[in-house]
Amino acid sequence: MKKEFEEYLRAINMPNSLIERIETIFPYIELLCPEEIVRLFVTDYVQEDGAREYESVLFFSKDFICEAKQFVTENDIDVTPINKRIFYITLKTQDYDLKNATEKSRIYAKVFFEEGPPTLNFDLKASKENCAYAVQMLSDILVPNLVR
Amino acid sequence: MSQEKPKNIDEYRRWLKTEHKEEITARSATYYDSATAKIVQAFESSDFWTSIKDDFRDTDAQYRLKNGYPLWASENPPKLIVKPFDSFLLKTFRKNVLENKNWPDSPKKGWILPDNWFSAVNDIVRTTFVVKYLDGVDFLVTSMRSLCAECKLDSKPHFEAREEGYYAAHFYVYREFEIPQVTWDTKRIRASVELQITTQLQEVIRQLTRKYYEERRERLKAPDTKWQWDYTSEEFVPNYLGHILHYLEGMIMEVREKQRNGAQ
Repeated sequence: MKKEFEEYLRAINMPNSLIERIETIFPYIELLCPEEIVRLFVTDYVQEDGAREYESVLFFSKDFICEAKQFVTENDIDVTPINKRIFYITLKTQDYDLKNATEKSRIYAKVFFEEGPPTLNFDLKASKENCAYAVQMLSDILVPNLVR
Repeated sequence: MSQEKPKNIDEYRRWLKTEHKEEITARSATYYDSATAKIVQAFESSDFWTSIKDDFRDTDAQYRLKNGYPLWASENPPKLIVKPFDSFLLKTFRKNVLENKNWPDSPKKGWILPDNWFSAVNDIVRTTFVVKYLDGVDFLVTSMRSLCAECKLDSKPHFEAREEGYYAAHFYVYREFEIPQVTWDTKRIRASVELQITTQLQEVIRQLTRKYYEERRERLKAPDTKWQWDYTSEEFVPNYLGHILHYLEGMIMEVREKQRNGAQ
């Protein structure tokens, strides 16, 4: 796994066992994605009791996005081209000013690809310090790939 | 010559003084506090406990990877607590007198007295880990056994299943501690720390039944009617609740596994 991926995962307080789990997913991603993975994002949320749940991993190459859904317990992976194919993004935030994330900060974006069938979409969910990384994904990858 | 059995803690203190020349005073309690503080300090800074705290989230992750569900019922590791001196003394009273089948001779493993009682009482320092699911108990016991082996510590698990509806694993970690003596010197003793592992539901019922547990422990003799037959007694409902909850937890496991196997 690239050093920057591991640094990101540690920055969002992911336990070692789950980092190792993501390592085991990479061969499946390499099977599906014809390009090198250049960015990584883990969707997470916080339960009512305060427990942090890591949900899906998004793998980005230059022109493709792969998603490993419920990566902790499943091998359920898909891939789709991303290049100028996003036609709708909806964004919600809570206790987050896009600059300083706190324990209560949450961000949720739903991203739709060009109209189907099938209608493809994915969720970009983040809590706490992961909100800043979600904003980076939006500005660096998702918004630039909006259909014009 | 028959020895009259002490009937309460005051008579027990007198018995300790007359039969074993051990006088329990306020100084005894102060000494107890200082010795147990040393035990806690040493255990908290041990490799074993440091790993338990540092790997708390990773242990949860390992359980999730294996079972698909969270392990812990809380976000943070529990804190070590010390048995208060009065409770400690009461425990020695129970072991030396109330539960001593050899009375007036010593219990099978000998009298529990100040020169050995830090070693003989196994739960002076303890804590409770609360897990969400029943299989989390065994998972954690296995994990702790491996960690003890890595740290070269002896350990022993006991899976408690008591008549009064109490279900939990008690995991004992043994090691040497250096504690102050009553004089200025220190001495090395071998003592255990008790790590209790229980489920969320059992923890709830424990809080409700604690009162009856304390009362039961202080009884000189069993009541005339067993609680299982005395449905008017205060213990009847909470004790059976403990059993019912344990059964329910087994059923929850069955549902959980069926769901998981169905999803696969």
